[in-house]
Amino acid sequence: MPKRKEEVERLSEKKKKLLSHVEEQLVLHLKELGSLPATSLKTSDPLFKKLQSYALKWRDET
Amino acid sequence: MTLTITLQNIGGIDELTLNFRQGKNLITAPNAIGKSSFVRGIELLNMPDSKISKRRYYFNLFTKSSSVKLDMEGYGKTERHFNIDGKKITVVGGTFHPENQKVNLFSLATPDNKLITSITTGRNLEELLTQYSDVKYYSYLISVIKNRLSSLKKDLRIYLVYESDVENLRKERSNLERELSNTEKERRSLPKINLEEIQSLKDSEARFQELTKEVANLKNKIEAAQDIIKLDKARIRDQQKLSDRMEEEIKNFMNDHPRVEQEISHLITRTKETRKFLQEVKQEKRETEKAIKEVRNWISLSRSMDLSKCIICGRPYSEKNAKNREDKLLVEDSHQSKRMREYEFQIDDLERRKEDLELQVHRIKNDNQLRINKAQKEIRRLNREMQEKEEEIDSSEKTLEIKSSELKILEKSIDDDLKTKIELITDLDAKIQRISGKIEHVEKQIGEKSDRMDQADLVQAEHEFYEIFQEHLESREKIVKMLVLENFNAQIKFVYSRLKFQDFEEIKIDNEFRLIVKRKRRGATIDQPIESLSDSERITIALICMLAGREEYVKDYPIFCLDKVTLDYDPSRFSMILDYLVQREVPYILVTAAKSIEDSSGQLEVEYL
Repeated sequence: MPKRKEEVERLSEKKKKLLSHVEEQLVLHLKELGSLPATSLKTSDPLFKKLQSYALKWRDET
Repeated sequence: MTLTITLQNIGGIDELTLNFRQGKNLITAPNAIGKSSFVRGIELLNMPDSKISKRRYYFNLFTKSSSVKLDMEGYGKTERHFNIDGKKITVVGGTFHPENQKVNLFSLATPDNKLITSITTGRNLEELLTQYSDVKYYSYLISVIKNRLSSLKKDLRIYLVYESDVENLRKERSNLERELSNTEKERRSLPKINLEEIQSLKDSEARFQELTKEVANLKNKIEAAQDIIKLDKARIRDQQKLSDRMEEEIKNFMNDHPRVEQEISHLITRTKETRKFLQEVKQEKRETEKAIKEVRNWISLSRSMDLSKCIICGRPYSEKNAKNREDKLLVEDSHQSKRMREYEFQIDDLERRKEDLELQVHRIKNDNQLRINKAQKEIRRLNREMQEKEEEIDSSEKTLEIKSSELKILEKSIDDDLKTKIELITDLDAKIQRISGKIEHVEKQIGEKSDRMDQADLVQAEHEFYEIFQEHLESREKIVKMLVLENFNAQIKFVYSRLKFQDFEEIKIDNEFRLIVKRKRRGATIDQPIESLSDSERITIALICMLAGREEYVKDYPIFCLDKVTLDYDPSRFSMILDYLVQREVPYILVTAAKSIEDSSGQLEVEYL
């Protein structure tokens, strides 16, 4: 179930770095796209796939 | 260094080329000559293709093709063509500057400029100022993640339902297993029964069932035959009644018409007599007709020969007498015709009466006799059928007696205890089978739902990641926004210090992206709402923000255009703005101004200041 904000704050430095990395990668991806796609992504959308792969990576490292 | 701008079919301009020198250029013309159309042409140089289709009104109303061209010495050339087909506008050629939207927002001061209208009407500036920073990417990602989280929450709710379902199914399986164990125990506690005994019992029971069915069928058959006999008796009575009634009818008729035959004979005789009279009259009539013909011949002959006396008898001849004779004969002929018709009518009437009587006699006698015969025949058939059914009843009763006695013997021979035991065993076996089936079904459901629940862990992990990532992005978005704000405020401060205006203490945008204006009043510094400022003050603040945006985002853009917005300015303030632009080394400063018709050539003119 959802974690509280305090739990996020307790995350290790490694996790914070991972979040920043994911953020950078996604912003870069969006800049390369030129225009932003719809906010309800289809499962076949590259951005959706990227998000899921980061979610799995996050799970493996937590 | 020169700048040449050429427009074709833009607004009210059919074709126009204007040349500008570096520095301040004043574009003058009377009203409605095309100053605003020219500025729109400059705007089109940097307008993104996607926005042009909403600006049909920028182009000449009747044109299907427009263009704008820019040639800036030492900077480059740009040419854009617009093909107009109804509401669809196709653009050929890219924008003049890669940061096109920022250029139009921060270098084209027109009354339609969004930054100017937002500031003068006191709107929040967050969206306008953050749209060119990375904030839009963060906002977008946050929206995507919120959508995904909402979808994952739904999935998780479904998994929770599955969890509860599986728990309930496990309880159900446990109950069923307990019930199965008890039933099997009960089944084992029953004594074993010989297979031959079971078979013999089953055979006897089958025979018993068969006999019971046969007896019931026989009873039904007897009842049906008795019903038919009852029905036949009723029918015979009906037929007999019909026959009697017909006979009665014949009898009554004969009594009522004792001399009917005599009457028919009398009618025939009278008909014959009347025919004879008719023949006589006809003969008389033929003779009369012959006499009429003779008289007419005489009249005709005497006229042609002009005779005064008869050539046969020698008596004096008079045409008048002859005519009288002809009239008498004609009267007689008419009388004879009338009599003939009367006789004919009488004959018809007599014959009809005779036929009616004959028909009546025939109907009464023959038809009724036919019906009587038919009824008697039906009575004979029904009697035969009754006899057959009575024989059938006798035969069925004898068979029934035999079958009933056999049934009684068989009933006595069946072992009731054994029967009860076998029934119990059969029931228990069926129950065991039923419970086993249910357990199998429940296990299958548990398996299916457990498989799905395996995915719940993945969904849970994804959900957790997105929640944490959303918070991270929100905090980053806030930081980037603050950075944008900080830079923009620094540029406002820079521009304001260079303009040397004395009106305000400070102009800045607060953390909520609201414009704050501080000024001194009676020795104290107060925050003045933008709405309370005069029109020219609001325009000044908007221009300061615009110039700040230019410094921040499109410092290198070589054109700055002022159209109408500074109309209320006094000359000193106006020159402060122009001086600032010169000081900041903006190569081409274009300003529009109205000119009276008397002083004008009737076209757009450029004056170099």
